[in-house]
Amino acid sequence: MWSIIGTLVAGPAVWGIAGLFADRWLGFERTFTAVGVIVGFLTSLYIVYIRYGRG
Amino acid sequence: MAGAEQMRMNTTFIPLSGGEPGEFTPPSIGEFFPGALLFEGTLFEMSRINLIMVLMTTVLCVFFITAFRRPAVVPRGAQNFGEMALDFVRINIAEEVLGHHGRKYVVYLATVFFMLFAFNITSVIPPLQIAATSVIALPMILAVITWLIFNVSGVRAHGIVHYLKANLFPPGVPKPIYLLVTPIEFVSTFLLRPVTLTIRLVANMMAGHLLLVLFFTATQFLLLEATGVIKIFGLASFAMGFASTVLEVVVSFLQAYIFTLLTAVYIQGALAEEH
Repeated sequence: MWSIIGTLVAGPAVWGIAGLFADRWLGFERTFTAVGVIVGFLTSLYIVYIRYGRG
Repeated sequence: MAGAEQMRMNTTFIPLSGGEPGEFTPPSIGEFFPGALLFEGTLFEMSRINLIMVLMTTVLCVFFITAFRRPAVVPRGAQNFGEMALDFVRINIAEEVLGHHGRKYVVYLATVFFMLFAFNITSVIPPLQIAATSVIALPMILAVITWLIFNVSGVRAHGIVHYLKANLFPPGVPKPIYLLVTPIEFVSTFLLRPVTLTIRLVANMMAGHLLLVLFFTATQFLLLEATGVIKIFGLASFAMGFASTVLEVVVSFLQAYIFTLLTAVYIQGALAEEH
């Protein structure tokens, strides 16, 4: 249970922060941050499915 | 009420509440950084919170030594209670989660559980009235020890390569997707776990203490210093304070239980063949 929450928090956090750095580096406002948060969230959903959902 | 009398009430009724008489001071973060009481200015400077830690450790040691000094086949008194308490951790946490591996980890799990419970419950014991776990040091150290134990257990059970592979590369994922998955797995397993263990405990105990201080200082202020109809709200505040005290007892137990249970769950995850 708790590790699922951990994964769901870590996903957007990791790729959101990666996106933030990409934005800084490439000079965008928030584009990659937004993309990162969404991609991270989808990936963490996928991880939860892989680890716990397939039974 | 005379001024001197009021001051006396202020200092005896709630030893923690600061501020001038006649104005209400809400609790602040300063609550958690009380001044030095012993050995001021030396390396061993002790505040109220440090003294509570020493006191509760002594209480725990005395309790368990008395309980198990002369164990009888038919347990009585302290031994009876001590066995019940230990059995709770052994059966409901260690063996429930870890199965036959449980026995090996009972020592650590029981230590963590009773230590945390003793340090949490001080938040509602009258002269102490702050949880030793409401400052970050102790929860952080315990979280680090938990982190070391589950990782070392995992590495010893599977070898470092297999352990990392099982944690960072969940099976059945198309290869390119690992690029997205592995960093998340790394952060959630190896970085977030100790952090969330720490924050969950500290935040709960801090919030509980702030609630208690808020409601009881408000009660005192409203009943003794406010005028007219507003005094009635003092009763409501007292009722809330009482409810928060009961809640705090439950939270003390629950947070100790959750910390211990999660430690067991993390060890189980590290020992398990398949993730």
